[in-house]
Amino acid sequence: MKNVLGNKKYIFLLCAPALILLTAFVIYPLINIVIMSFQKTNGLTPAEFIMFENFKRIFQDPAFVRANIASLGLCILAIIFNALLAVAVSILLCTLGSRIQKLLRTAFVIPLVLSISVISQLWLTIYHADWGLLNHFLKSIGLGFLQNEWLINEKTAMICIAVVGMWWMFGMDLLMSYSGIKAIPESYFEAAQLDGAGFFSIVRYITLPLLKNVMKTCVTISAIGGLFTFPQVFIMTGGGPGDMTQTVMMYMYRQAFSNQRYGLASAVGLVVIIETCVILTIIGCIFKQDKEY
Amino acid sequence: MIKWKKVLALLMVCITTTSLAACGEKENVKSSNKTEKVTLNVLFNDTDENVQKEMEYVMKHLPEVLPNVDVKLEMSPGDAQTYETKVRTMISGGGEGLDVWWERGGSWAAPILESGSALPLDEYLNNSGYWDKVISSAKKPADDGHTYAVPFEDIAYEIMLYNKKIFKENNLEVPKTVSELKKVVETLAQTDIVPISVGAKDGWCAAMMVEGFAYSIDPKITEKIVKGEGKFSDEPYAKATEVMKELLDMGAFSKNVALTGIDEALPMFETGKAAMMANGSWAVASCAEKMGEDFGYFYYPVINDKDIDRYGVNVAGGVKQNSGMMAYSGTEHPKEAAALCEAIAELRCKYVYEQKGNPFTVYKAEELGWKCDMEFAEPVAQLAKDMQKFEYVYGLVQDVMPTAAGSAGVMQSTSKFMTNTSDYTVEDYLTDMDKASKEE
Repeated sequence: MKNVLGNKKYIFLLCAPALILLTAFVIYPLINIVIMSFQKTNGLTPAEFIMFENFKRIFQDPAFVRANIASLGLCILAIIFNALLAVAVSILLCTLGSRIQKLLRTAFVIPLVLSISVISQLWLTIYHADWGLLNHFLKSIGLGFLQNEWLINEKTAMICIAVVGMWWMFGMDLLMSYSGIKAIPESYFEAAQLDGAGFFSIVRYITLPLLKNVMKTCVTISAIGGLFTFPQVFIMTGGGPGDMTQTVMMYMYRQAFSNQRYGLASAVGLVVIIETCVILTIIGCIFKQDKEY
Repeated sequence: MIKWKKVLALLMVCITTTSLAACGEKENVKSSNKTEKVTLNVLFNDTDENVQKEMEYVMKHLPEVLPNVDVKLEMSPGDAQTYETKVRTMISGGGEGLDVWWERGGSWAAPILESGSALPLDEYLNNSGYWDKVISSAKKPADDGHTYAVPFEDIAYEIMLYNKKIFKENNLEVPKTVSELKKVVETLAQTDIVPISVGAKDGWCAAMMVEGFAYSIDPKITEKIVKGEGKFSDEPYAKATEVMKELLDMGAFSKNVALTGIDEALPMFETGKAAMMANGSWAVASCAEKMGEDFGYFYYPVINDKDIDRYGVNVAGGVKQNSGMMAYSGTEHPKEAAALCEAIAELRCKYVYEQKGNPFTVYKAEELGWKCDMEFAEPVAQLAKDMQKFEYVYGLVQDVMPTAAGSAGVMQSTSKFMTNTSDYTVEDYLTDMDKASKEE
């Protein structure tokens, strides 16, 4: 084994399959996106180099700015209500009896095993303005005045979309943080209890510091998930009515497939990639390890 | 042990050689067949059950018409956008597995024609006697004067469908003017019935409605806009939009209208939950079959009462440009591909005429000896008769926009307008529509 790993040729050979796949399916498309973002192309007629025209155009388009703000909003909501809430819930979950823990854990994870298409259809029947469950429920409990056209109202539409994504992904963050807590040696908690530490002190000085890496993963996944929100929007509203529920991914999809502007869509893709890198850097800075635990 | 290994290896070599030889022989058989038959790949949009049945019939009867062509049919599900994306992807990938396909036409076809990916069918159609079999309006060449598609879709017009039973129960008459329509809506809005069902989620159904009203002021307005000689903010569309706004304010539509797709709106009408529906005449035959005597249709009411004599005279629709069976310019068998385009179109139209009682075809059915055993339903026969009298016909607004972005813009703005929020006024809508018409 030592001989094999000592030989650079072998290392290269062993890595080759993964490298080939990465090049074919990640690096090559990425390079292509960068090139296309400077072109005017509908995918069929010869592409024309137009320098920064696509970027200029998207930043001048109020629909893109709105979609970008909506996506960043979804990103923040996902961090708060998915990652951070999941950590809080998993901490509380660990204080409960093992049977209830199991029951609640399963309940939280159920949405995760459902397909997002199914979930979107399900929520569509909840939000439907004419025969939706939510409006029926509000009416039946005497809160009929709160009935709303949930996905058509500009004030509620985006929040309704956010709820679907959060409900779907919450289980994953919970599962990760729950496993993270369970991985902390029990003796740490016992020692703290013997020293007279209360619940909040244990959480603050033992659980959270030791859960930092897991939290970072949760926040990262949630942030990216929120920023890239697409399937639920596509199925539930198609980004509409108009551009009311348009996220940046939906905007990109519309530019590419409805408007046949692949160059412009690539420019949007590139902007989103840069945004993602910035967000990941910020998350990295926030969760920077000061000392090893 | 080594001896056994040698024996086994020899055995393996024998087996491999025999199988390869067998395969080779098969290939020979195939290639000898190839001299007689050509295989063509056909891509078709699987939109619903009706299309599946139509294509079953086409595939069954194709060998009778084109015995030298083997057809590999791929039914591709999804909406027009998904389907057209697949077509474009296949073309940009070199046209592998694509010889003939159903082109949905309108702005979808623009990049395909621009890139020279469609085979001009003029020569073949001129020689095959195709033009003698179809009505003159079937000739809708592309802007460059060539014909690239053999049309087969129903000749369709913008109309309003209505439920005669509901109208009778509420003592309502078919409205011919907008003021009469408002009275009908006013009456129906007081009942549990939705006055007008429309699939505004995708925008085009509602856009057709606006266009329908605009036609009564100037039927040439859409054509003028397409040619850059007019604007959506001009009087016809401006007044039509105001009518729509009034209808929205009166509660003419369901609450969720802006997110109601045609797949939800149509059953709403067919099951009697809605009294009227804004749709195209393609729905007439199937609605007549499903609803029987309760089904009727009327044309868009005129906006100005004084124009009542122009009711039903000019209707948007007709044969869609560059829509129908298209052949890939890079196909190895252009002659057979062109013949296949014609055969599929003709067989499909024959099927819907003879077995579905649908006369809205571009083919001269009676001259071709097509026979329909069933009697055409009354509304179907009426519309077929009316069609002959239309004075001015131009494509549907969502189909004639010069660019895909223009069509998308029209649909998205209309869908947003149907939310009827104070943030999006009539003026905002018309501005967005004007912007869409100028999209490159």
